[in-house]
Amino acid sequence: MEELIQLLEEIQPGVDFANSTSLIDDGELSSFDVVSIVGELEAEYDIRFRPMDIIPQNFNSAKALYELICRLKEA
Amino acid sequence: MRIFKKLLPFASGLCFFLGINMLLNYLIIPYQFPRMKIHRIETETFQDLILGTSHGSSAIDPEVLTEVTGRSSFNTAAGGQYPRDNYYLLADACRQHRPERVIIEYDPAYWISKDSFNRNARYQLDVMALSPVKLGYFKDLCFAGDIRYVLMPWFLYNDSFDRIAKNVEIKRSEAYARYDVSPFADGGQVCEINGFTPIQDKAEGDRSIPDLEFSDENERYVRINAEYFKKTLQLCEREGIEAVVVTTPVPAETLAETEPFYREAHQRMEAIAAEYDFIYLDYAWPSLGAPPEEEAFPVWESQCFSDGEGHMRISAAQKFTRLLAQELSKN
Amino acid sequence: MSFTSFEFWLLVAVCVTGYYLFPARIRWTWLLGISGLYYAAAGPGFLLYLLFAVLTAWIGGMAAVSGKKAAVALPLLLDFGMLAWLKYTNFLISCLNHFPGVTLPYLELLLPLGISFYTFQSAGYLLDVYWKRCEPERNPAKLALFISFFPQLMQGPIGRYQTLSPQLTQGHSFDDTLIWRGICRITWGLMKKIVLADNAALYVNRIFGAYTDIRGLGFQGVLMYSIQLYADFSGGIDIALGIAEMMGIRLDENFRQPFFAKTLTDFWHRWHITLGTWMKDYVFYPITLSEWMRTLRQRSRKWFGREIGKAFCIGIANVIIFVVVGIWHGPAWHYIAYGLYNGLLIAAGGFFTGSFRKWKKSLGITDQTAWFRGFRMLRTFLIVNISWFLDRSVSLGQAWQMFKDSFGSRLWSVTVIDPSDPEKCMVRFLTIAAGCAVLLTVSILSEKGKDVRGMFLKLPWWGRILLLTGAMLLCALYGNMDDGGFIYANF
Repeated sequence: MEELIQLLEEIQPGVDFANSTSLIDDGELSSFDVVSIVGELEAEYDIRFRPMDIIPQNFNSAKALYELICRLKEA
Repeated sequence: MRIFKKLLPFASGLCFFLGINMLLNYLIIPYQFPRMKIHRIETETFQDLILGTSHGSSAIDPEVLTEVTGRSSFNTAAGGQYPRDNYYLLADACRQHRPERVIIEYDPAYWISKDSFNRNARYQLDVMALSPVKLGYFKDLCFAGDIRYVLMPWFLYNDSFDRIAKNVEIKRSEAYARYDVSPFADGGQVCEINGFTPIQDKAEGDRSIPDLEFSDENERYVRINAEYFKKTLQLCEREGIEAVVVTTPVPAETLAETEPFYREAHQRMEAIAAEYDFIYLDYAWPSLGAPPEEEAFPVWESQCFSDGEGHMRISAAQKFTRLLAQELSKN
Repeated sequence: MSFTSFEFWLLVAVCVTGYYLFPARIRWTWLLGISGLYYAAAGPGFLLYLLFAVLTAWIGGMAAVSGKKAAVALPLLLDFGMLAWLKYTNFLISCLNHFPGVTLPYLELLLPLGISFYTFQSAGYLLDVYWKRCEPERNPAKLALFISFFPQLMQGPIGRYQTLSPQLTQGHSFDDTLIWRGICRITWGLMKKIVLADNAALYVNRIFGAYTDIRGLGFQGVLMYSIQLYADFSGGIDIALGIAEMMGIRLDENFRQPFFAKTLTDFWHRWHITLGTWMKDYVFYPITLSEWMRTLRQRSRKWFGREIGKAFCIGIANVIIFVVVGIWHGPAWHYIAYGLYNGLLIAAGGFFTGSFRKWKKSLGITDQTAWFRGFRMLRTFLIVNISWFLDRSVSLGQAWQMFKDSFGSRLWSVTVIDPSDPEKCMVRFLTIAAGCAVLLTVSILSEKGKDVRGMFLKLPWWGRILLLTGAMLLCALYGNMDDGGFIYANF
């Protein structure tokens, strides 16, 4: 989880991944940021995001993203 | 009871809005010819009724017509009167005072133009007596029209607020209550009690030649106007009314520049004449090279008209009416 | 039925009254009936196209839940194929006719009312079912209501099934606050359209219509077009949202003070919002998650490095999105150029994000620095206005000609709409200026998060009536008599 937050802060500096739980809802992450993150996470964790995964609930917090990554790794 | 209390502000608001607009209509909309004309056709029977545009209202003098034909006549033609308005005027007259003959002045320039926010028609609709004809007129004129046109027609006169005091004075006068024409006397144009709106021989208008042509863009307007024209003919058939269609004279200079337009207008009317039973008298036609066997109608020079469009001056109009009346007496 | 026509408002009055007279559980059927009537009034033949869209969405939705690609691809192909056929065939023919020896005849094709909007709406539903974001609707009548709900049929907003359908089918209780809010919003929309947009249109039509004779007023033309387009489109949306709100239905917002945008990307998050979010969810993300984009991303990382490689791929996706947006606007090269202009600028911005961040840091500027915020807004406003040359012109040639001619000494003319009546022109111009001042005030309040309609509701009921009546009288006093219709009504 800390590794993920570190990676996210590298991809998107200036965003509070450690504490925020409404990254999408509050507009802290734009659609371009989401795509950047998706690209980097796919390369880092060898997973494949699907369009159905790109919903605000999965990107609103680092924790939600972590849980999504775990689900995708198991699939 | 609670719902009623909640609905009361909305009902009050609607009443207030309609009330304010009724007041503004009273203040701003002036007394105009159609109020007198419609009153007369709803209360009196005329043997000959003239329908049409401002060309018709200034070119056909009912007094001269009656003198020659011996038949009572009345001119309902007015500026802004489209075939739709002619149809509803005739339908309104037919409710209780059906004429024997109707003379429909055909101005093809109207047929190619877009009819929107029509002041004349909106006023006519208001002054017509409540009847199924008025409801039909409302449906055809306003129903799909702009909401301001329907609920706030005073906005059509938003360039003449300075006339409010004069409007109120006229509407409170006896002449207004009697549907008299005397209040029109100091306006820009006079209207006589028989509906004739004479243009003085000295009057001078815009001499420029109008730009007239049938095109793909205006074909849809032509279609709509033709439909209403045919509806008028069908009404005449049902009511046993003789129909005569007349194109009033056009200045020679205007014809020279717009010959293809008037030629096509004539051909289009001839096509309709093949389907319906009516007499068609085109006083612009002879100047367009009519065949020698047709009656030689005179060519009308520019001094007969006050403008390039073709509004006849009074002397020429009375001469023309005499000619027309003689023609009508033959048939 | 135009939003400014009497028959439309009679329909709305009947609809809202009937809605609250019916029992709650069948109110949705009343809405369906009214929507069908509204659409049939445009032309009974058009109803067939709508029914086609409903049928493909209903059957497609039931099949798409299986997760099979073909089950969702076929109905999407049919829907978009129908849209493409009706909207773009003659454009394709005109392109082919440019080739020597090719003289294909043009087809007489009528575009059904609102087809662009309801096609997108039903496509969104199909994809949401396919991606298991929602369950398929088993009742075709309820799905028909979602696709054909009449206030949004003419120009949107484009709704999402999960948020809109439950609202449509749930019967809402009468609440006079909602009626007041709805009437307030409708009146505001009518004012924007009639007083502001229709008057600005006089300038736009004159300057763009006679651009070969009236040269040099290009910037005035696009500025007036900004006013016209925003007032017209957002006015129509306000009317749609106001009507729905009176029945307790909240449609999605489509505008959020777009001219306060700091960047072109921000502008597209504030302008035609539902089109932007639709493109994001159903085009942008699927493109960026596709295999070929994945491969391109890996390769571009290798060729250009991490940052530039990322910007390159997102840039490609953006350009594709905006070309689609351009094509959606209409079958013409200048619309495609309009899309490209936006896409390329946004893509280029992506390449400089890192550099911009460094420059700002070195200059001690943050995004909150007052003058810098103002600069960004002005810069974005200028960029957007330049794009209007491409949007409003009828050809690329006209757009370029007008843009070039704008750099002359003549910048402005109040009397260009009717030089023979300068007084009337001044009245129109001042009406536009006053309207903009009011619009700006309301926009600033909204941007600061104030509930402007809430302020209206604080007035006593007679105060609200006076204000609303006054607004309608202004529409009559200062409105135009050219019935130009709504710009987006033919989409």
